[in-house]
Amino acid sequence: TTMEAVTPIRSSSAFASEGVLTPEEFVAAGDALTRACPTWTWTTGQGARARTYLPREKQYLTTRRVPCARRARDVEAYAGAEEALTGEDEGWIATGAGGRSDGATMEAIPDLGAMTLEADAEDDAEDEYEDEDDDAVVLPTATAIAKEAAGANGERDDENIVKTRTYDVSITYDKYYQTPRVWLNGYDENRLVLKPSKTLEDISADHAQKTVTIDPHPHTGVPSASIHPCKHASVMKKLVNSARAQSGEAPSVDSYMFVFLKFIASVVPTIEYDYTL
Amino acid sequence: MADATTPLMFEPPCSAPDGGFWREAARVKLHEAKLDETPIDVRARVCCAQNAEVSSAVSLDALAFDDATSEGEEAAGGRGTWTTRGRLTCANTREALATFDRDGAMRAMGREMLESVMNGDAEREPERLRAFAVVAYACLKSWSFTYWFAFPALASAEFKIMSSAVTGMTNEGVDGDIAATCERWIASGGASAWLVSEDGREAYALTEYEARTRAGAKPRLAFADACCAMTHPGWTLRNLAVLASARWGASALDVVCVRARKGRVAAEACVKFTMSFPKFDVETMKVVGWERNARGKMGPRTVDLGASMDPNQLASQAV
Repeated sequence: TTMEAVTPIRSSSAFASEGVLTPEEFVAAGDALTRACPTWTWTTGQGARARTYLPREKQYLTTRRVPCARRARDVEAYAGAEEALTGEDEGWIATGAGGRSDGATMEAIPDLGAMTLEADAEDDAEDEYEDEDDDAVVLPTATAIAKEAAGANGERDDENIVKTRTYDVSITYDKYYQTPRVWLNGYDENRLVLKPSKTLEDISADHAQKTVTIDPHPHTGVPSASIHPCKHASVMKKLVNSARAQSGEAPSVDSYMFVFLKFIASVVPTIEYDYTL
Repeated sequence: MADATTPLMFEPPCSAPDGGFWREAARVKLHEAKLDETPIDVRARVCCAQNAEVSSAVSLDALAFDDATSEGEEAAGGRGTWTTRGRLTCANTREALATFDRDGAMRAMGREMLESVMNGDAEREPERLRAFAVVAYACLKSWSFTYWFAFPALASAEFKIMSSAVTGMTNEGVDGDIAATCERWIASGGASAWLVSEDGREAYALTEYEARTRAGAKPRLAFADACCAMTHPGWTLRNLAVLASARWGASALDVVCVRARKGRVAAEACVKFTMSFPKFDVETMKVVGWERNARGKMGPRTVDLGASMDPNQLASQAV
């Protein structure tokens, strides 16, 4: 973006005092993450979109096909970690009585659907293709098995039988906000590309309404759901400081990404990516 | 070896092309291939099942079109990820997709795969046994993509793969050694299928099968299994069984389906069994593996990328 283009690159370390990272610290924090959690890997991305202030082979972090078995509104116990984030960061919270959102509220989220990326589950129903002669050694898909089982049990709610979506989660360096930024690209239970606005169902209600945007992914250009980084620095500063208060010493930049991902886990409570040291 | 009594069933692979793949496919079709329907070389990523909930998919993104020898090689994969090769046919019309010679394409891929089995290429590079094809039609008016993947499995009516009970593993004894050995094999950048010594402590390449068995060893076959089911192996084992029969002349083999948790091989996620099979008869070979659609039927899948990629709609939104 233009804003990003005219923003100078941060050169002095300030993760403890301001919660922000230099590109070098982003790489160090990412290295620590990929060492501890091999499900995360550095990605080179497309050459034309590479950022010059990051090493060519360490443009952004990804973890792929992370399961997400339930929708966020079905999960109740994700408010705990957020209580500390009051005061200047109150835009992040607003949990409590109104913390859970029902389906109707989800549907009312404005404007994010302007860009669609919709999987069409209805294939060309009229086309009939001959089945292969494969001597019955092929397992039906998990979806088919589950539907059959549900049918045998007399259930008819087809849509809700298998809800396990998967996500490609990536972390880029946001030069303007000087923090990591998380992007989500989903697939439905049949591994068809998930419309980004449907991703909102996997984000805790308050954040879905306030802090999640659909933007082109900086390294792929594909419209993706992203947790907007405008509050990341102040939240990270708070978390880094509370960690310091607990342990008595300043945390190293190596732990930044783990703390960051733990914080992101409160935003996307049902996507089970790894961030354990 | 335990008695092999049950016909083995396999979980088919699942394709997962992302939005970046389709955007790049559209660009290539519009600006490079144009009306040429000659298949384009593409590549995908595969890995072990990473969790108990979902099997790993065959993933394709925008980098699928990069020359495999280019800079992206390492980054597209990383630890525990293997590159597989396939061919994308961009049909010019929906009818061309519907009438695409799927049998012919499948037979051609099968012949190629069988050749790699017989001449030893598949031993050196077992990813060849995970080759794929995809035929796609991009409707650039609506920016919807209709596509159909094929993951060829060499088969024949007589080639019935039987197996002992599929059992889970624990982190103790030989099982624990096997898991640790497999983790080292993957971490050191080994191929996607390999052999593990009887005591579970040594891993070596498929190419060593004959020399090792001649010396009296009874190696077990291990492979990176995308399937997460604790009751079944994934699709790749079908072609590995053909290799074991046609190339090695084996009739039974201990198998370990290697899966991971949190990015590392975990014994409790793996399964093992003994499979046995007759001699693979090349004369009666058939090739199967067209992917089923979201309804579990034979047929293509459709993904609608609508307004997110249509320049006209994007322009009308840009206020």
